[in-house]
Amino acid sequence: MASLNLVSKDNRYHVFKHPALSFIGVSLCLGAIALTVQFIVSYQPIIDNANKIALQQSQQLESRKHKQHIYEKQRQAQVKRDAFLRRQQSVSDELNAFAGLLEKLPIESGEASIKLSNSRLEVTSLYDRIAQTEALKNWLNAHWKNPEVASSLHQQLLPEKRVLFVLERSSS
Amino acid sequence: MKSSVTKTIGFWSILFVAICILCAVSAYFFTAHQSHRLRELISDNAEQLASPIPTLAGEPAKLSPSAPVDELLSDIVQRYPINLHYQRSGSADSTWLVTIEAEPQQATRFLAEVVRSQYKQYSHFPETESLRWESLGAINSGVYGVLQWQFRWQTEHSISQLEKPIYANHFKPINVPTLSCYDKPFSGTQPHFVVPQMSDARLTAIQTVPNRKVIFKSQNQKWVTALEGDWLGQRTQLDTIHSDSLILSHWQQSGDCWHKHSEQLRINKESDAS
Repeated sequence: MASLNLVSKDNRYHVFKHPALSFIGVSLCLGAIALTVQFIVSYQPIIDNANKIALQQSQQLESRKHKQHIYEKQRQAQVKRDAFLRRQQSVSDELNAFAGLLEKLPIESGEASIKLSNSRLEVTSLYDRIAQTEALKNWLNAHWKNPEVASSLHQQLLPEKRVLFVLERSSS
Repeated sequence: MKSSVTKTIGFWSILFVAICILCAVSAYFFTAHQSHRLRELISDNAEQLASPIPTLAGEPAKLSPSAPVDELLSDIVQRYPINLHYQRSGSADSTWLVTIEAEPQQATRFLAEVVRSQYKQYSHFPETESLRWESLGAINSGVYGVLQWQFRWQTEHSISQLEKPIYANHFKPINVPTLSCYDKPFSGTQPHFVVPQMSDARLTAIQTVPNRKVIFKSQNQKWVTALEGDWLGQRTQLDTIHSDSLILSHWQQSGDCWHKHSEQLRINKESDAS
Protein backbone atom coordinates (compact mmCIF):
# COMPACT_ATOMS: atom_id res chain seq x y z
CA MET A 1 0.00 0.00 0.00
CA ALA A 2 2.85 2.35 0.94
CA SER A 3 4.58 1.53 -2.32
CA LEU A 4 1.38 2.30 -4.25
CA ASN A 5 1.08 5.75 -2.62
CA LEU A 6 4.65 6.49 -3.51
CA VAL A 7 4.04 5.58 -7.13
CA SER A 8 0.91 7.74 -7.46
CA LYS A 9 2.53 10.68 -5.66
CA ASP A 10 5.55 10.49 -7.98
CA ASN A 11 3.34 10.31 -11.05
CA ARG A 12 0.94 13.13 -9.94
CA TYR A 13 0.79 15.75 -12.65
CA HIS A 14 3.40 18.38 -12.02
CA VAL A 15 0.86 21.24 -12.57
CA PHE A 16 -0.72 20.62 -9.27
CA LYS A 17 2.56 20.62 -7.55
CA HIS A 18 2.57 24.44 -7.64
CA PRO A 19 -0.78 25.77 -6.48
CA ALA A 20 0.39 29.38 -6.68
CA LEU A 21 1.33 29.04 -10.32
CA SER A 22 -1.88 27.16 -10.98
CA PHE A 23 -3.84 29.96 -9.36
CA ILE A 24 -2.13 32.56 -11.52
CA GLY A 25 -2.66 30.40 -14.63
CA VAL A 26 -6.35 29.80 -13.92
CA SER A 27 -6.83 33.51 -13.09
CA LEU A 28 -5.20 34.61 -16.33
CA CYS A 29 -7.33 32.18 -18.34
CA LEU A 30 -10.53 33.24 -16.61
CA GLY A 31 -9.52 36.87 -17.01
CA ALA A 32 -9.03 36.40 -20.71
CA ILE A 33 -12.40 34.70 -21.01
CA ALA A 34 -14.07 37.41 -18.93
CA LEU A 35 -12.52 40.18 -21.03
CA THR A 36 -13.68 38.44 -24.20
CA VAL A 37 -17.21 38.02 -22.87
CA GLN A 38 -17.29 41.62 -21.81
CA PHE A 39 -16.07 42.74 -25.20
CA ILE A 40 -18.69 40.63 -26.96
CA VAL A 41 -21.41 41.92 -24.64
CA SER A 42 -20.34 45.53 -25.12
CA TYR A 43 -20.51 45.00 -28.89
CA GLN A 44 -23.99 43.48 -28.74
CA PRO A 45 -25.98 46.75 -29.06
CA ILE A 46 -24.33 47.35 -32.43
CA ILE A 47 -25.29 43.83 -33.57
CA ASP A 48 -28.80 44.25 -32.14
CA ASN A 49 -29.22 47.53 -33.95
CA ALA A 50 -28.08 45.99 -37.22
CA ASN A 51 -30.41 43.05 -36.64
CA LYS A 52 -33.28 45.43 -36.05
CA ILE A 53 -32.55 47.26 -39.29
CA ALA A 54 -32.29 43.96 -41.15
CA LEU A 55 -35.59 42.82 -39.67
CA GLN A 56 -37.32 46.03 -40.72
CA GLN A 57 -35.86 45.63 -44.17
CA SER A 58 -37.03 42.04 -44.42
CA GLN A 59 -40.55 43.19 -43.50
CA GLN A 60 -40.37 45.87 -46.18
CA LEU A 61 -39.09 43.29 -48.64
CA GLU A 62 -41.97 40.98 -47.77
CA SER A 63 -44.49 43.74 -48.43
CA ARG A 64 -42.61 44.63 -51.60
CA LYS A 65 -42.75 41.02 -52.72
CA HIS A 66 -46.50 41.08 -52.18
CA LYS A 67 -46.81 44.28 -54.24
CA GLN A 68 -44.62 42.76 -56.92
CA HIS A 69 -46.88 39.73 -57.00
CA ILE A 70 -49.95 41.96 -57.40
CA TYR A 71 -48.20 43.88 -60.15
CA GLU A 72 -47.37 40.63 -61.98
CA LYS A 73 -51.00 39.52 -61.76
CA GLN A 74 -52.17 42.92 -63.00
CA ARG A 75 -49.73 42.81 -65.86
CA GLN A 76 -50.91 39.37 -66.90
CA ALA A 77 -54.52 40.55 -66.71
CA GLN A 78 -53.57 43.52 -68.87
CA VAL A 79 -51.93 41.26 -71.46
CA LYS A 80 -55.04 39.07 -71.55
CA ARG A 81 -57.29 42.11 -71.83
CA ASP A 82 -55.25 43.51 -74.72
CA ALA A 83 -55.41 40.15 -76.50
CA PHE A 84 -59.16 40.04 -75.92
CA LEU A 85 -59.65 43.54 -77.33
CA ARG A 86 -57.40 42.77 -80.32
CA ARG A 87 -59.65 39.84 -81.16
CA GLN A 88 -62.71 42.08 -80.88
CA GLN A 89 -61.04 44.54 -83.24
CA SER A 90 -60.24 41.77 -85.72
CA VAL A 91 -63.92 40.68 -85.76
CA SER A 92 -64.96 44.24 -86.54
CA ASP A 93 -62.31 44.56 -89.26
CA GLU A 94 -63.39 41.29 -90.84
CA LEU A 95 -67.00 42.42 -90.94
CA ASN A 96 -65.99 45.74 -92.52
CA ALA A 97 -64.03 43.84 -95.17
CA PHE A 98 -67.00 41.56 -95.83
CA ALA A 99 -69.37 44.53 -96.17
CA GLY A 100 -66.87 46.24 -98.48
CA LEU A 101 -66.84 43.18 -100.74
CA LEU A 102 -70.63 42.93 -100.66
CA GLU A 103 -70.88 46.54 -101.80
CA LYS A 104 -68.44 45.86 -104.62
CA LEU A 105 -70.22 42.80 -106.04
CA PRO A 106 -72.89 43.41 -108.69
CA ILE A 107 -75.55 41.65 -106.60
CA GLU A 108 -78.41 43.55 -108.26
CA SER A 109 -78.07 41.36 -111.31
CA GLY A 110 -78.92 38.23 -109.36
CA GLU A 111 -76.73 35.36 -108.38
CA ALA A 112 -73.82 36.18 -106.13
CA SER A 113 -72.36 34.45 -103.14
CA ILE A 114 -69.57 35.05 -100.69
CA LYS A 115 -68.16 32.47 -98.29
CA LEU A 116 -65.61 33.70 -95.82
CA SER A 117 -63.82 31.69 -93.17
CA ASN A 118 -60.61 32.28 -91.31
CA SER A 119 -58.47 30.84 -94.06
CA ARG A 120 -60.52 31.06 -97.23
CA LEU A 121 -62.68 33.44 -99.23
CA GLU A 122 -64.88 32.19 -102.06
CA VAL A 123 -66.73 34.63 -104.27
CA THR A 124 -69.13 33.69 -107.05
CA SER A 125 -70.57 36.39 -109.24
CA LEU A 126 -72.24 36.92 -112.58
CA TYR A 127 -70.54 38.88 -115.34
CA ASP A 128 -71.44 40.29 -118.73
CA ARG A 129 -68.00 40.81 -120.13
CA ILE A 130 -64.65 39.23 -119.27
CA ALA A 131 -63.29 42.70 -118.51
CA GLN A 132 -65.58 42.79 -115.48
CA THR A 133 -63.95 39.66 -114.04
CA GLU A 134 -60.53 41.23 -114.53
CA ALA A 135 -61.65 44.36 -112.75
CA LEU A 136 -62.98 42.31 -109.83
CA LYS A 137 -59.79 40.25 -109.70
CA ASN A 138 -57.67 43.39 -109.61
CA TRP A 139 -59.86 44.84 -106.91
CA LEU A 140 -59.56 41.67 -104.82
CA ASN A 141 -55.81 41.68 -105.29
CA ALA A 142 -55.53 45.31 -104.31
CA HIS A 143 -58.00 45.48 -101.45
CA TRP A 144 -58.50 42.00 -100.11
CA LYS A 145 -55.25 40.12 -100.44
CA ASN A 146 -53.29 40.77 -97.29
CA PRO A 147 -49.62 41.22 -98.24
CA GLU A 148 -48.55 40.07 -94.76
CA VAL A 149 -50.09 36.63 -95.31
CA ALA A 150 -48.86 34.19 -97.89
CA SER A 151 -52.09 33.78 -99.79
CA SER A 152 -53.10 32.93 -103.32
CA LEU A 153 -55.98 34.18 -105.46
CA HIS A 154 -57.41 31.88 -108.13
CA GLN A 155 -60.00 32.70 -110.71
CA GLN A 156 -62.20 30.22 -112.54
CA LEU A 157 -64.82 30.91 -115.18
CA LEU A 158 -67.98 28.84 -114.68
CA PRO A 159 -70.83 28.08 -117.05
CA GLU A 160 -73.71 30.57 -117.41
CA LYS A 161 -71.42 33.57 -117.24
CA ARG A 162 -70.39 33.04 -113.68
CA VAL A 163 -66.95 33.55 -112.23
CA LEU A 164 -65.45 32.05 -109.09
CA PHE A 165 -62.62 33.60 -107.10
CA VAL A 166 -60.84 31.75 -104.34
CA LEU A 167 -58.48 33.52 -101.98
CA GLU A 168 -56.84 31.26 -99.45
CA ARG A 169 -53.85 30.97 -97.19
CA SER A 170 -50.98 29.14 -98.79
CA SER A 171 -50.30 25.83 -97.16
CA SER A 172 -46.55 26.54 -96.88
CA MET B 1 12.22 21.18 -8.98
CA LYS B 2 13.24 23.80 -11.52
CA SER B 3 12.15 21.61 -14.30
CA SER B 4 8.77 21.13 -12.60
CA VAL B 5 8.27 24.94 -12.28
CA THR B 6 9.23 25.45 -15.92
CA LYS B 7 6.84 22.75 -16.97
CA THR B 8 4.03 24.27 -14.91
CA ILE B 9 4.68 27.75 -16.34
CA GLY B 10 4.93 26.23 -19.81
CA PHE B 11 1.66 24.37 -19.34
CA TRP B 12 -0.27 27.42 -18.13
CA SER B 13 1.34 29.62 -20.78
CA ILE B 14 0.24 27.26 -23.54
CA LEU B 15 -3.23 26.97 -22.04
CA PHE B 16 -3.43 30.75 -21.67
CA VAL B 17 -2.32 31.32 -25.26
CA ALA B 18 -4.78 28.70 -26.46
CA ILE B 19 -7.60 30.31 -24.51
CA CYS B 20 -6.57 33.73 -25.78
CA ILE B 21 -6.68 32.46 -29.38
CA LEU B 22 -10.05 30.83 -28.74
CA CYS B 23 -11.33 34.05 -27.17
CA ALA B 24 -9.97 36.12 -30.05
CA VAL B 25 -11.65 33.84 -32.58
CA SER B 26 -14.91 33.90 -30.61
CA ALA B 27 -14.76 37.65 -30.18
CA TYR B 28 -14.13 38.07 -33.89
CA PHE B 29 -16.95 35.72 -34.78
CA PHE B 30 -19.50 37.32 -32.47
CA THR B 31 -18.57 40.90 -33.28
CA ALA B 32 -16.74 41.79 -36.48
CA HIS B 33 -17.90 38.79 -38.47
CA GLN B 34 -21.56 39.18 -37.46
CA SER B 35 -21.39 42.89 -37.97
CA HIS B 36 -19.87 42.43 -41.42
CA ARG B 37 -22.48 39.87 -42.37
CA LEU B 38 -25.31 42.13 -41.20
CA ARG B 39 -23.83 45.14 -42.99
CA GLU B 40 -23.74 43.17 -46.21
CA LEU B 41 -27.31 41.97 -45.68
CA ILE B 42 -28.51 45.51 -44.95
CA SER B 43 -26.70 46.85 -47.98
CA ASP B 44 -28.18 44.12 -50.23
CA ASN B 45 -31.66 44.73 -48.86
CA ALA B 46 -31.29 48.47 -49.26
CA GLU B 47 -30.28 47.93 -52.85
CA GLN B 48 -33.37 45.81 -53.48
CA LEU B 49 -35.61 48.31 -51.73
CA ALA B 50 -34.16 51.19 -53.71
CA SER B 51 -35.29 49.79 -57.08
CA PRO B 52 -38.83 51.03 -57.72
CA ILE B 53 -41.78 48.64 -58.16
CA PRO B 54 -43.36 49.24 -61.56
CA THR B 55 -47.00 50.22 -61.28
CA LEU B 56 -49.87 50.07 -63.72
CA ALA B 57 -52.14 53.03 -64.11
CA GLY B 58 -55.43 52.01 -62.55
CA GLU B 59 -56.82 48.61 -61.88
CA PRO B 60 -57.16 46.49 -64.99
CA ALA B 61 -60.82 46.22 -65.83
CA LYS B 62 -62.54 42.96 -65.10
CA LEU B 63 -64.49 41.15 -67.79
CA SER B 64 -67.92 42.77 -67.72
CA PRO B 65 -70.96 40.57 -67.73
CA SER B 66 -72.99 40.66 -70.91
CA ALA B 67 -76.55 39.89 -71.89
CA PRO B 68 -77.20 36.35 -73.14
CA VAL B 69 -76.70 35.97 -76.88
CA ASP B 70 -80.38 35.38 -77.66
CA GLU B 71 -81.43 38.48 -75.70
CA LEU B 72 -78.80 40.57 -77.42
CA LEU B 73 -79.89 39.43 -80.89
CA SER B 74 -83.61 39.79 -80.12
CA ASP B 75 -83.09 43.25 -78.73
CA ILE B 76 -81.12 44.56 -81.69
CA VAL B 77 -83.26 42.91 -84.35
CA GLN B 78 -86.24 45.03 -83.28
CA ARG B 79 -84.57 48.02 -84.87
CA TYR B 80 -84.06 46.39 -88.26
CA PRO B 81 -86.46 45.34 -91.01
CA ILE B 82 -84.92 41.88 -91.34
CA ASN B 83 -85.95 38.30 -90.90
CA LEU B 84 -83.75 36.70 -88.31
CA HIS B 85 -83.28 33.11 -87.31
CA TYR B 86 -80.69 31.96 -84.84
CA GLN B 87 -79.71 28.74 -83.17
CA ARG B 88 -76.92 27.15 -81.26
CA SER B 89 -74.84 25.34 -83.76
CA GLY B 90 -73.21 21.95 -83.44
CA SER B 91 -72.18 20.38 -80.19
CA ALA B 92 -70.30 23.37 -78.82
CA ASP B 93 -72.63 25.44 -76.65
CA SER B 94 -70.82 28.64 -77.43
CA THR B 95 -71.19 28.41 -81.21
CA TRP B 96 -74.17 30.11 -82.83
CA LEU B 97 -75.53 30.24 -86.33
CA VAL B 98 -77.44 33.36 -87.26
CA THR B 99 -79.38 33.54 -90.52
CA ILE B 100 -80.58 36.91 -91.73
CA GLU B 101 -82.83 37.46 -94.72
CA ALA B 102 -82.66 41.09 -95.70
CA GLU B 103 -81.17 43.72 -97.92
CA PRO B 104 -77.38 43.47 -97.77
CA GLN B 105 -76.95 46.87 -96.16
CA GLN B 106 -79.48 46.16 -93.43
CA ALA B 107 -77.97 42.72 -92.80
CA THR B 108 -74.42 44.04 -92.40
CA ARG B 109 -75.63 46.94 -90.27
CA PHE B 110 -77.37 44.50 -87.98
CA LEU B 111 -74.20 42.43 -87.68
CA ALA B 112 -72.12 45.53 -87.09
CA GLU B 113 -74.44 46.63 -84.32
CA VAL B 114 -74.27 43.22 -82.64
CA VAL B 115 -70.47 43.28 -82.82
CA ARG B 116 -70.26 46.87 -81.66
CA SER B 117 -72.59 46.35 -78.74
CA GLN B 118 -69.71 44.51 -77.10
CA TYR B 119 -66.89 46.35 -78.80
CA LYS B 120 -64.14 47.84 -76.60
CA GLN B 121 -66.15 47.00 -73.52
CA TYR B 122 -63.95 44.14 -72.40
CA SER B 123 -66.94 41.92 -72.37
CA HIS B 124 -67.86 38.67 -74.04
CA PHE B 125 -68.12 39.07 -77.78
CA PRO B 126 -69.01 37.12 -80.92
CA GLU B 127 -65.91 35.89 -82.71
CA THR B 128 -66.68 35.16 -86.32
CA GLU B 129 -66.00 31.66 -87.58
CA SER B 130 -67.62 32.06 -90.98
CA LEU B 131 -69.73 34.49 -92.99
CA ARG B 132 -71.80 33.56 -96.04
CA TRP B 133 -73.92 35.65 -98.35
CA GLU B 134 -76.29 34.24 -100.98
CA SER B 135 -78.23 36.63 -103.16
CA LEU B 136 -81.90 35.85 -103.59
CA GLY B 137 -82.44 38.51 -106.26
CA ALA B 138 -84.58 41.61 -106.25
CA ILE B 139 -87.83 41.69 -104.30
CA ASN B 140 -90.00 44.82 -104.27
CA SER B 141 -87.25 46.82 -106.00
CA GLY B 142 -84.80 45.95 -103.22
CA VAL B 143 -82.00 43.39 -103.43
CA TYR B 144 -82.46 40.55 -100.98
CA GLY B 145 -80.27 37.79 -99.83
CA VAL B 146 -79.41 35.47 -97.00
CA LEU B 147 -76.51 36.22 -94.72
CA GLN B 148 -75.31 33.39 -92.51
CA TRP B 149 -73.06 34.23 -89.65
CA GLN B 150 -71.48 31.56 -87.53
CA PHE B 151 -69.72 32.80 -84.48
CA ARG B 152 -68.27 31.61 -81.20
CA TRP B 153 -69.35 33.49 -78.12
CA GLN B 154 -66.05 34.31 -76.44
CA THR B 155 -66.58 33.88 -72.76
CA GLU B 156 -63.08 33.12 -71.59
CA HIS B 157 -59.86 35.00 -71.85
CA SER B 158 -58.36 34.23 -75.16
CA ILE B 159 -54.64 34.63 -75.13
CA SER B 160 -53.80 32.34 -77.99
CA GLN B 161 -51.89 33.96 -80.80
CA LEU B 162 -54.16 35.75 -83.22
CA GLU B 163 -53.51 34.67 -86.78
CA LYS B 164 -53.04 37.40 -89.31
CA PRO B 165 -56.24 37.69 -91.37
CA ILE B 166 -56.40 36.93 -95.07
CA TYR B 167 -58.18 40.23 -95.66
CA ALA B 168 -56.51 43.62 -95.74
CA ASN B 169 -57.44 45.87 -92.87
CA HIS B 170 -58.22 49.14 -94.59
CA PHE B 171 -61.92 48.91 -95.24
CA LYS B 172 -64.08 51.71 -94.03
CA PRO B 173 -66.23 50.84 -91.03
CA ILE B 174 -69.85 49.92 -91.64
CA ASN B 175 -71.97 52.98 -91.15
CA VAL B 176 -74.62 52.21 -88.57
CA PRO B 177 -76.77 55.34 -88.35
CA THR B 178 -77.66 56.21 -84.81
CA LEU B 179 -81.31 55.65 -84.26
CA SER B 180 -83.46 58.69 -83.71
CA CYS B 181 -85.12 58.51 -80.38
CA TYR B 182 -88.70 59.71 -80.52
CA ASP B 183 -91.14 60.40 -77.74
CA LYS B 184 -93.84 57.85 -77.22
CA PRO B 185 -95.95 58.23 -80.38
CA PHE B 186 -99.13 58.63 -78.37
CA SER B 187 -99.79 58.92 -74.70
CA GLY B 188 -102.91 59.06 -72.61
CA THR B 189 -105.96 58.35 -74.69
CA GLN B 190 -105.29 55.87 -77.42
CA PRO B 191 -105.90 57.05 -80.97
CA HIS B 192 -108.59 55.51 -83.07
CA PHE B 193 -107.23 52.39 -84.68
CA VAL B 194 -108.55 52.24 -88.18
CA VAL B 195 -107.93 48.52 -88.21
CA PRO B 196 -107.00 46.48 -85.13
CA GLN B 197 -103.99 44.88 -86.84
CA MET B 198 -102.18 45.72 -90.03
CA SER B 199 -102.07 42.07 -91.04
CA ASP B 200 -105.88 42.11 -91.15
CA ALA B 201 -106.02 44.76 -93.87
CA ARG B 202 -105.17 44.68 -97.55
CA LEU B 203 -104.40 47.85 -99.45
CA THR B 204 -106.94 48.21 -102.18
CA ALA B 205 -106.99 51.78 -103.46
CA ILE B 206 -105.23 55.12 -103.13
CA GLN B 207 -106.80 58.50 -103.67
CA THR B 208 -104.69 61.64 -103.92
CA VAL B 209 -107.21 64.22 -105.19
CA PRO B 210 -109.03 66.11 -103.73
CA ASN B 211 -107.56 64.73 -100.50
CA ARG B 212 -105.15 61.93 -99.79
CA LYS B 213 -106.60 58.75 -98.42
CA VAL B 214 -106.22 55.02 -98.80
CA ILE B 215 -108.78 52.29 -98.75
CA PHE B 216 -108.13 48.94 -97.15
CA LYS B 217 -110.24 45.86 -97.20
CA SER B 218 -110.37 44.10 -93.87
CA GLN B 219 -110.64 40.36 -93.36
CA ASN B 220 -114.36 40.56 -92.75
CA GLN B 221 -114.72 42.18 -96.21
CA LYS B 222 -115.33 45.66 -94.82
CA TRP B 223 -113.98 48.76 -96.54
CA VAL B 224 -111.82 50.93 -94.31
CA THR B 225 -110.58 54.42 -95.14
CA ALA B 226 -107.41 55.81 -93.62
CA LEU B 227 -105.74 59.22 -93.75
CA GLU B 228 -102.10 60.23 -93.22
CA GLY B 229 -101.29 59.93 -89.51
CA ASP B 230 -103.92 57.27 -88.84
CA TRP B 231 -103.00 54.18 -86.89
CA LEU B 232 -103.28 50.74 -88.40
CA GLY B 233 -102.90 48.66 -85.29
CA GLN B 234 -100.97 49.36 -82.12
CA ARG B 235 -97.56 49.85 -83.71
CA THR B 236 -98.15 50.87 -87.33
CA GLN B 237 -98.89 54.39 -88.50
CA LEU B 238 -99.77 55.55 -92.01
CA ASP B 239 -97.01 58.07 -92.66
CA THR B 240 -97.23 59.35 -96.24
CA ILE B 241 -99.51 58.63 -99.17
CA HIS B 242 -98.03 58.68 -102.69
CA SER B 243 -99.87 58.13 -105.94
CA ASP B 244 -99.06 54.42 -106.23
CA SER B 245 -97.70 53.56 -102.81
CA LEU B 246 -97.78 54.52 -99.19
CA ILE B 247 -95.18 54.68 -96.45
CA LEU B 248 -95.92 52.96 -93.18
CA SER B 249 -93.98 53.61 -89.98
CA HIS B 250 -93.53 50.64 -87.69
CA TRP B 251 -92.86 51.79 -84.15
CA GLN B 252 -90.63 49.84 -81.80
CA GLN B 253 -89.80 50.49 -78.20
CA SER B 254 -86.34 49.93 -76.80
CA GLY B 255 -86.12 50.98 -73.17
CA ASP B 256 -87.41 54.56 -72.93
CA CYS B 257 -86.62 55.15 -76.57
CA TRP B 258 -89.14 54.81 -79.37
CA HIS B 259 -87.93 54.43 -82.91
CA LYS B 260 -89.49 53.62 -86.23
CA HIS B 261 -88.57 52.00 -89.47
CA SER B 262 -90.39 52.66 -92.66
CA GLU B 263 -92.01 50.27 -95.06
CA GLN B 264 -93.22 51.08 -98.50
CA LEU B 265 -96.47 49.41 -99.46
CA ARG B 266 -97.30 49.33 -103.15
CA ILE B 267 -100.77 48.87 -104.41
CA ASN B 268 -101.43 45.34 -105.60
CA LYS B 269 -103.06 45.70 -109.01
CA GLU B 270 -104.45 42.19 -108.93
CA SER B 271 -106.20 42.79 -105.66
CA ASP B 272 -107.91 45.89 -107.03
CA ALA B 273 -110.39 43.81 -108.87
CA SER B 274 -111.52 41.95 -105.79
